[in-house]
Amino acid sequence: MKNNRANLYGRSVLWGLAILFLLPYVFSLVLSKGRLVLPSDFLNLVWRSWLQATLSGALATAFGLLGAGFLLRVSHLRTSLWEGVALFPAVIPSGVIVLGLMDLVPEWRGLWAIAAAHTLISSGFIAVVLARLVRERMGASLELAWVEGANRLLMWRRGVLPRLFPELFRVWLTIVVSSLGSFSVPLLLGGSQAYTFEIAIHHAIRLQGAWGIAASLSLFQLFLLVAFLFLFQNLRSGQTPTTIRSGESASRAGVARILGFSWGAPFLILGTAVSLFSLVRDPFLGWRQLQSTGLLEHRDVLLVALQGSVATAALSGCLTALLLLLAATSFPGPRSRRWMNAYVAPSVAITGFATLALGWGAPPSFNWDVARISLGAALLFAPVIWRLRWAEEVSRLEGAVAVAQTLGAGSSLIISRILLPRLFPAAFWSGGLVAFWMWGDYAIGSIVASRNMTLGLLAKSLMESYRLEAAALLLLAVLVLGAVTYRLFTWGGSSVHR
Amino acid sequence: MVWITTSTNAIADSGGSVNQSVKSGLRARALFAALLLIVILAALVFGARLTKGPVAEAPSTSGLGKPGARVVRVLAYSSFLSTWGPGPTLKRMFEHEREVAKPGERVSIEYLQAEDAGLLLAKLKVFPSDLVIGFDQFTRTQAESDRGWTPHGMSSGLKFSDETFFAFDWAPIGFVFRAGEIDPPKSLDDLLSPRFKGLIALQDPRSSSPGYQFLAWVVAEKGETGAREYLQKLKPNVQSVSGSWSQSYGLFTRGLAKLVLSYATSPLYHRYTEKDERYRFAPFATAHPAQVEYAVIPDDCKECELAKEFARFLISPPAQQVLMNKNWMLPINALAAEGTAFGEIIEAIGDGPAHSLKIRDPIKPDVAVGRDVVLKLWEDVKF
Repeated sequence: MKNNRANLYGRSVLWGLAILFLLPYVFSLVLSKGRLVLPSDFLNLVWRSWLQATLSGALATAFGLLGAGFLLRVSHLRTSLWEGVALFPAVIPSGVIVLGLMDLVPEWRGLWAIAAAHTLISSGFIAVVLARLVRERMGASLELAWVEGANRLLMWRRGVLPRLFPELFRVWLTIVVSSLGSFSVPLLLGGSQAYTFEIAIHHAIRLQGAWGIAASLSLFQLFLLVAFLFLFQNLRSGQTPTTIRSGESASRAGVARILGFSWGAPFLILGTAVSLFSLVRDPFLGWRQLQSTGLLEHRDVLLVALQGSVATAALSGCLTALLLLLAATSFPGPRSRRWMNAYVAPSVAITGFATLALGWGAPPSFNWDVARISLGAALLFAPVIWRLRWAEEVSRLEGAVAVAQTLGAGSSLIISRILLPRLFPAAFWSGGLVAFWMWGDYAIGSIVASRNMTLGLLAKSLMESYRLEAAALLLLAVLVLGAVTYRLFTWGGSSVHR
Repeated sequence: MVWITTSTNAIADSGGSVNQSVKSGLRARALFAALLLIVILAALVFGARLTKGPVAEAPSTSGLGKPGARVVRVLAYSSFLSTWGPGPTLKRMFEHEREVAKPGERVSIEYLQAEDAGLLLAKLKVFPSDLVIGFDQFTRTQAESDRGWTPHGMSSGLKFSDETFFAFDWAPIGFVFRAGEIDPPKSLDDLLSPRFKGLIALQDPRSSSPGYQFLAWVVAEKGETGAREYLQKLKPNVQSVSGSWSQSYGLFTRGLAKLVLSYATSPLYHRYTEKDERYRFAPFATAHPAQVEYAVIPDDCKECELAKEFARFLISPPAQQVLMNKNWMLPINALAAEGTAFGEIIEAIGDGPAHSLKIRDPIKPDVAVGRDVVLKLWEDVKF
């Protein structure tokens, strides 16, 4: 009886989530009126997209792994600070990194330049994810190996890397997916040879209103990635810990001593260094440009934008965490998890537009803009974070859940005593990450918002009005505030974990 | 089983300290959740309040309509609506003018933001509006075929306009440089000179209107075959191809490019806002293309008469001056530019020997080939 109720609850939640996440695709099909058309240069698009995406994924994963080595080295107290530094390039507009790269290496163009830009943008984020995985899961057994005389290289080769391989694959795939959705990096660094699904969808929707092409490209991308992921679903993590405390009993200092290496620091901070180099060029000119806009006199505009950013960042983080928790506590079976692991959100343009269905017919308002942007962010980021971290968390908890069910525990008891305590830290971290991202966002906002109601949108408007340095100043402020938000969320998660 | 037993034993062994730890964790969780909820609610309440009420009177705010007034909804792009753009000033001027002319009747302009033609048309379906600002001479064709529009009722002599789409500002397109850095180009062929190797910032014609203008210009001058050869020769001189004008111009102002495809009015921004006289426009001997911005009234407008009034207002000299000084584009109504640097540019435009700037007809471009063929040319050259 209790199992039946658990199944009913789980199925209801899973179906609800499936409908929610598939809505953007359905929306694009409706707008296309069922007329699906592939662009004439479709094969060229697929080839070029995949080439730059797979190369970007490989390079970013390698750099991320090396950067994770440094993160493992830092003390517990400074971890959040270094994580904030590492995440910096991932949350600012990609054009900033590209400008920095062009400043440093003016002549560099082509496939490798695109991969380098994607690496600078993503490797810090990957380092944070991998370091957390290693810290949380591999401590005790590796500490034992260290005591038995194994050196660091041997521990990485025989202990960490084999067990980390599925995660490395997932991380690589995440970067491949995000590179397929990349727009300004390939255009700036690769010219017309750089062609991605996002560029094609952008042209189709924003310039031509050709929803048939946009819908067909999005669906093709989804099916391709689902098929790809299904082929590689058999990869599992290494030996499942025999006790629940295998990751918990090792101190962070112990893991750092064993695995960390200081020379990973350049790989961690390279993206941030290039970003700062690009942003802090001429702050005085930026200040003068800000003065010329009247923003410093009419501070109400800045205030509205600040509150918009606070609201969208916090709500996006909370929504994403909630969706992930719902998915994880819905008792997904192996087949459902395969689909969940393989799902890819459609492009920003399609997802953003689908959120306009929320509050359809209501007059435009600040609150509806916040709700739509936050929903769009959750729909875009939740699948990424699920694949990166939650898929494995849920898989590890499967055994404990099965045992509890066999012993007759009800779904509410299992959720409250087994699942939630284990998943709350991941939920807070995921929420913090998304909140950090959304501080600098203007991609979703420029589609959904009815006015410049976030700092990211203000920065975009500044860039479009000759005021690049002013936009850079605003983005610096956004970064600091985003880092504070991320810290607040991770603090919440660590409080829960005590 | 092992896991549950382990957990139970742990609890039994550690006794009260585990219970305290669980309780303090729960308290921390509850406190954090409460704090977060308060932050979100506060932001929503104060943010919503700031976009209404007395603050809405300030020129810099979102532009939502005043309560109790007839509301004219205007859809426009973000830089038009920003504090430093023309939108807030035009709103204030129109509402004040209306209040003076008809004291009993309150009218308010409500701005909504939408970028790019495709999104603009899609957003119009979600938020029916009374006036749309943001089409150019290329995207108006798409707009014309997508839905119906209401005649604006203004005189048929308006520059670049017809009975539904009326132009409110425009600017010649060409290349901008900084004096002292390079010897400027004098023609399209001059751009092929080795002295410009790796110095020219262009925009992708697939995503940028000025970028497409350049390509169409080359095709109009050279023909399809000649254009292909020209672009191949131009490749070594191209520093970057950006997705948008703002990215491209950013590379130029950063010094990464020495020549950028932009508007004849761009140097005026630097001259008057940054007090930097170095920026110049390079006029060619052949005619330059022109970028025209249009406004139009949808056929499902609610306040159609007010929208027409606002349209007439946009063409009036005071509004045209605001558009000129904030959009950094030439006014359609030349009266607004008299005695200004913008007026000097307008005076330079013409076909006679006294004129240094020739313009191609923007609404009847003499490009014999279609858009798809032009874009295919670009992709074949592989910049």
